[in-house]
Amino acid sequence: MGQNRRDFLGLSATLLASAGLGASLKAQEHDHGGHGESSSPKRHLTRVEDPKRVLSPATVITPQEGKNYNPVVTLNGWTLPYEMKEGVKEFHLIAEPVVREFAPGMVVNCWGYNGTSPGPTIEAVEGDRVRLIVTNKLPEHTTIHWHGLILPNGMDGVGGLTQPQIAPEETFVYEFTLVQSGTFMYHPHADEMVQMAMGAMGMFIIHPKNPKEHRVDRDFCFLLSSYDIAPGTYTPNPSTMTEFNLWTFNSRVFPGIDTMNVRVGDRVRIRVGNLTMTNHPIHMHGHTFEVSCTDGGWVPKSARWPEVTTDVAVGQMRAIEFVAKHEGDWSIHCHKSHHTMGPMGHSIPNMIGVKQDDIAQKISDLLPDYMYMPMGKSGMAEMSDMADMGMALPENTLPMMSGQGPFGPIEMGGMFTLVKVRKNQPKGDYSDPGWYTHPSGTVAKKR
Amino acid sequence: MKQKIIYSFVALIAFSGCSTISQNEVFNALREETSKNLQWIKTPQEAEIVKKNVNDLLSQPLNQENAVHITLINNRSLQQMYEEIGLSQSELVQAGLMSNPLLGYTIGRGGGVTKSTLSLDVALLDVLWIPLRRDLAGVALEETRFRVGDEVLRTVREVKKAYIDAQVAQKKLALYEGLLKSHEASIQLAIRQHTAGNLSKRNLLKMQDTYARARLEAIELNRKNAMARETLNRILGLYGDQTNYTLEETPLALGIAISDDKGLETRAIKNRLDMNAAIKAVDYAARDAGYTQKTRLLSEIEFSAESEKETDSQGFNSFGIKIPLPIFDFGQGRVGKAQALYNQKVHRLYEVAVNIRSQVRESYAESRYAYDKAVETNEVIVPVNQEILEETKLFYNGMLDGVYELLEDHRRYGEAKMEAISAFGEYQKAQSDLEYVLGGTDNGTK
Ligand SMILES: [Cu+2]
Repeated sequence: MGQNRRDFLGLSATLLASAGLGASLKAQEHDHGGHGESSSPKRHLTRVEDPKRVLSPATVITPQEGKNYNPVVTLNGWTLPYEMKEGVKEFHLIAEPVVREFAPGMVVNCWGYNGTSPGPTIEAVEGDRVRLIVTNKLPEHTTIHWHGLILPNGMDGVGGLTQPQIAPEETFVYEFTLVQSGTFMYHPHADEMVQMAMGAMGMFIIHPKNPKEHRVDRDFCFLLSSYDIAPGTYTPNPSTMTEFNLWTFNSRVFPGIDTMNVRVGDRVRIRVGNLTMTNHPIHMHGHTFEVSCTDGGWVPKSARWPEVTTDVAVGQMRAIEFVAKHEGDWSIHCHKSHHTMGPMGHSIPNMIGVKQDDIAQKISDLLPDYMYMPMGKSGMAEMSDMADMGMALPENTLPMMSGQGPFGPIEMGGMFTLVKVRKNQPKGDYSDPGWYTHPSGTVAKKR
Repeated sequence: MKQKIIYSFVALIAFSGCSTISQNEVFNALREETSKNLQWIKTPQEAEIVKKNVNDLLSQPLNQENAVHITLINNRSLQQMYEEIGLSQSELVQAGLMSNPLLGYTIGRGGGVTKSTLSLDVALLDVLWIPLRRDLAGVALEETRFRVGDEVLRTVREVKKAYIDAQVAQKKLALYEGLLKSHEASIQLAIRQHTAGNLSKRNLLKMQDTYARARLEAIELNRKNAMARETLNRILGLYGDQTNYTLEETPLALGIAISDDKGLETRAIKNRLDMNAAIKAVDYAARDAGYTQKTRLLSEIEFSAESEKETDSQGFNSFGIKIPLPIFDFGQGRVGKAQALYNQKVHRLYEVAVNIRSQVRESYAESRYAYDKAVETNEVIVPVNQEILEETKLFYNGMLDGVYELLEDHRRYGEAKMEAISAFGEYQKAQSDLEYVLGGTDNGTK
């Protein structure tokens, strides 16, 4: 898989057509720095001709065979393969511009690793000697900081402080021994603001030496990242500090995030790392869980307490654990309601309770070729209807809320997905079982 | 002896009375020169016919062509100008007449004899002067004809521009109705938002201010429309019910811009009727001063280079133009005055030619730039704003923008269309100017 990972993502240069700008504007073509080989002609990365071929980065399951640990499942991602070189696990990371589909209908010019943002998950075992060979294909220098790892200071990856930055086209080698286990991350520590705003980050999972320790049946992981991508554009704005409009799990937004499908009785771990610039209270329905691992390592069993929401602060990692007891389709999401919304205008006029019908007629008359609908009188749920009706949106822009469930529109976006608990989900099978079939008499109904 | 007198009397009458060009002939020449269908109202009957024609033309939506037509037959300032032809022509007739002969009858008694003498004193000197006077009056009439012709073309330009102004004002006013409705929708929503407790009083007041300004703009457009319409009425010579006409609903169009200014100055110098009038004025003054070879002289009014003079007669250099000296001998005072007048006319001719050349360059530039502006506005600004509106609709669909932005961009598109109408009007007016400046439409006959 390591050899063809780029093809796997379907990202070849031929897919990337130039933006359909008018001929008159041709002269203003910009170099989307670093997206092309330095010798290749300038081209736009703003439109993918056949999005289906780039689309839907799948959750790739790493087979258990030959592993002395239980591999994690990276939502809409995959684990970085390694080679053993004289007892050292050797990983190759290439920092580079990538195109990421956030959900069907939107692709983003990101920076990431090995063709994907976030980069592939690095998995190793406590005590391993690892060699991380980092090649910089970004248009500017970079470094990688191994977030949370205990390692020699010179391997810490802080540009200027513990090493010179890795210039474009240069390759640096990090090598150290993993002395702990738990949930960690990696991300640039050189022009960090820009590079993380562009999506350069990844997870670093270290399994306990003893596979029986902290054993779970299913182990999921994802990173929280946020982006400011103006409607009608493709590239995150790295100078944004608070006004993000896309809140993602692994650079995916609902309904583009894979569901976590488990079998009744499974012990499930979900690891979450936060590389946004705000905290996210991650909330799960249907079960209580405990935080079993923080960014500092495993929480002693006696120190854990049951909860249904755990706040993941900036730069933190949290692993929650629970036994899947209750069948059903259970939501798991950030509890900041704006973070489960797609892009929306935050300065739109408040129309709650404002009668508009007669004025709507007037406006329709002014805009004869347009199906004008007054919005917001009784809320914004009609947005979802509009999205379903296929009402056109600006190029490369997702609706504020979308997603169809078995009972109607789910009206979500952003940091939202499901844990699907099924009796008959086969062991080792992560595929989507479809919508839950409720036993009769167990669904709320109209009286 | 008696018979002799009678003969010469008859001869003089014949000499002076016949072969004078008629007013109608002059007027027809004027029609040809201006290529316009002119009508000279000389009698109440003719006035009635004109009135009927005007009313017929006004019964249908007025187009620019008919506006020009009405002006040429109904504008009383032009009618005054036409009478100048009458005046000049009368002077020409007068110039051919001898001073009235003095008829004397004396009865004398002497030596018982009564002797009656019938004498006819004719100012014989007049007979000598008549050809020169007729000559001068003929030149003066030609000058008048050119002057009147120039005034006709000037008026044509004015009515065309007034028509365009009226058309532009009306179209902009009509377009603004949609914009005002859009403003109304905004303020109505804002009031309801405020009533529902969703919009602060301050923000409502700001929107009220915007709306009030929009209404002011509507008033201003109404005012401009009334003013433009009235200017047109005045040039058309209309009053009362006649002013209730409507303008034809034609879209303002762009013609093909003159893309090259080569030869335009020469064309204007050749065709401009005020230039021709100025030439005639020099001619007149030269003849009055007794200068000969004036045609030779006037062909040199190109000012481009001093051309070679024939110097078979004595000459003196006057303002770069060699004027052959007359052989006639006048009294010194008269010579001095005539020479001064002549010099004046030459200066004037020079001035007219320089100004015409400048006007050609100015008008050409004006029309070129106005054309480019109209094209840019119509082909870029209007479609760009239309596209902006289309995009804003998408943003509205996604709740990325509110209804106010939607309405605002709707108005923006409307404003762009209004700008395009103004730009078209400016171009068409510049074309009317250029047409006049070049001496009328070039139909190749001039
Ligand atoms: Cu959140």
